[in-house]
Amino acid sequence: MGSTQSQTEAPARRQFFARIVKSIQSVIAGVVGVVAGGSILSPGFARREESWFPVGLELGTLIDNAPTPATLRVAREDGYNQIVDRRVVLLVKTGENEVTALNPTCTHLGCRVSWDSEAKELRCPCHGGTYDHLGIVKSGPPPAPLPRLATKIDGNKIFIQI
Amino acid sequence: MSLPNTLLDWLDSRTGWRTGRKNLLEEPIQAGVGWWFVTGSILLMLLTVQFVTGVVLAMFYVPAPDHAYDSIRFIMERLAFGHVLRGLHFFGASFIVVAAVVHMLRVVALGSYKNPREVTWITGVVLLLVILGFALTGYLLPWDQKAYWATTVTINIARSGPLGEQVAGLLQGGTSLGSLTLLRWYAAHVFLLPSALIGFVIAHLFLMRRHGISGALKPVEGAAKPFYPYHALKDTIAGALVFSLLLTFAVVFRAPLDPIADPSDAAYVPRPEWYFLSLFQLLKYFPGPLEPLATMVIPALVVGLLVLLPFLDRRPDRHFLKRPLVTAGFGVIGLAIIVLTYLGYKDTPQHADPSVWGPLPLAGHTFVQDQRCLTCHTAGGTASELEDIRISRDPEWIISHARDPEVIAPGSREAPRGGMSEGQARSVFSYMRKLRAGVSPPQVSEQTRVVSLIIGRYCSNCHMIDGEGGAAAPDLSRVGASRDAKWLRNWITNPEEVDPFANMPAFGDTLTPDEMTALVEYLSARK
Repeated sequence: MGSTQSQTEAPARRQFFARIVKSIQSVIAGVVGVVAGGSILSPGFARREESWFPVGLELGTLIDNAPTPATLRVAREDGYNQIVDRRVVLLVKTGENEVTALNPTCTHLGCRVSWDSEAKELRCPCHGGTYDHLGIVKSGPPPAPLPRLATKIDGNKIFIQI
Repeated sequence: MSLPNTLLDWLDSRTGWRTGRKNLLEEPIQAGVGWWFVTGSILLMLLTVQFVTGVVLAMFYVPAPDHAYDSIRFIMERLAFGHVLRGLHFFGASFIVVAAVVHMLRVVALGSYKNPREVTWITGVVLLLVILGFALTGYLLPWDQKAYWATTVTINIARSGPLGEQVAGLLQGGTSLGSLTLLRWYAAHVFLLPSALIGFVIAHLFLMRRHGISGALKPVEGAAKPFYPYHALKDTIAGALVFSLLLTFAVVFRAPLDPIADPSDAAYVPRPEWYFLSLFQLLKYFPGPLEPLATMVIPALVVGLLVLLPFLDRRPDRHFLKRPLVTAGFGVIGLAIIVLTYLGYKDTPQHADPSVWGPLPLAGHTFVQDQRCLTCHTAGGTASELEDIRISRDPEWIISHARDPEVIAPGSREAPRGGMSEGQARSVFSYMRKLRAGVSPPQVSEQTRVVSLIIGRYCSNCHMIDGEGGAAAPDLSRVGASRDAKWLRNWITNPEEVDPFANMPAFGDTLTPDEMTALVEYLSARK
């Protein structure tokens, strides 16, 4: 057979050729791999951009130290799609020109808390957790205070960073 | 003995993979099999690249008219290397067609199809048809203008043949070109054709191994050498060159994407991809009842001759000069294809560049800044910001909505005062289409801006310009070729003075002198 003949003839040459073939093919496979891998992996690691969203409520309509729910529309990307979420935040006027925004999702199991104006506390309807007007846990199972969102005031308008 | 080797030995004892690999790689190749015999390997390499990129594209592509186009834009714009990924797949298709034809010509030139390799040849012809099937079905998938209209043409061609309505119905899947068509062409492109391709490639390679490489025309002195690494080196070097070229195309040129498919856009002139251009051009010489001659008979004849070639040319001579009939036949057909492709290419009208903004989208860009739109379409408002909206409604919806939002979305807001003119609403729609295609508005001179607003507000109610606008009055795209500035000024100021039977209203009082001058200058320059 020719194959055995050439093997005894020039094993070094044969090895050298084999090495070139393997290297070139690895480079081609590598390029295709990077292109394919980059495309497959990049969406999973894309950072969500945070931006400021205006709230429909004006600063003047808020009552001191009483959380008021406000709805805002947040557009976000879902792959090639664009989805508009309605998000609810609690706005608390804490000073002359100061607003605290709370995420109303209970830190226990994710129900939405609401303001009990008589008891002056935020109450979770699911397992009875309560928070004060700044979202600090007063009683019940919640393990952490309600998360706060950054706010910005421009004249009478309120912006929230999401 | 190391653990991996022990494992591999065990696997070998159970599967015999080492013998299998040896059989695959160490096929003895006789001396004289030179660089001409790398064409098949190049095809195999290109098909592999196409397979890998195709699988990754399928992770992002959505075969539905509502989303196909957006998903392609997502691939191109949002994925790391996304445009290279689609570029490899898009240009790879053209590379494969070229490589397949080169491979076939090599087989013909060296008479490799002769006894006993007839069936190898036939599987090759089938593979060529499968490849063309890939090209045809892949074309529709981006759901852009080119895809939509080229496919419309394809289906109409099918309609002209025998059992035309049935074939067209099968291709179309529904009563019109739409979601059902896209789905079945997608299914063909990603399931049916790949299965056929893999099956026939295996058959083709198996037969190639069974009969050996046809080799040089005259026996060359010298010992046979194993395929790997000797001939594999030639294959690999040639493959690397072709791949480098493909990669350059994919990186340097953007795989094209027209505006989204618009069935109502009659101004669009569809043109097929270059490898179907010769067929397309052929169609022009067989008008009316003769059309099936160009769409069916001649292609069928060519394919039939290809399949029968090894049975028609049965003498053992392999040198192409000793087979004058075959050589002349391929020469004539090849020349005809080249000439037809060239004629078809020359006849191709310039496509509207999506990044060039005509007057209507420019006007629409200004109209949407209108307080009427921004009352709702604003951050935190009852509707999304216009820049964030990707139109998915049909043109009629958008135009009606822009003219009077209350009509479409009752209760959403107070009806706006005035409402927009038909032309303004068209301009808004045209602008939304540009947004969807992902091109941002260009910086234009104040004069152009003023003129586009006039055209958007008044002219486009009745006149078409750059394929957009009303159809009641003559197209203005090239009005400067037949009318000069003086005539245009008189006409626009008061048409009845030029022609007592003119239908067009007078705009002498509507437009300011500056606006009139700008408009006349603009129109007379359009030639």
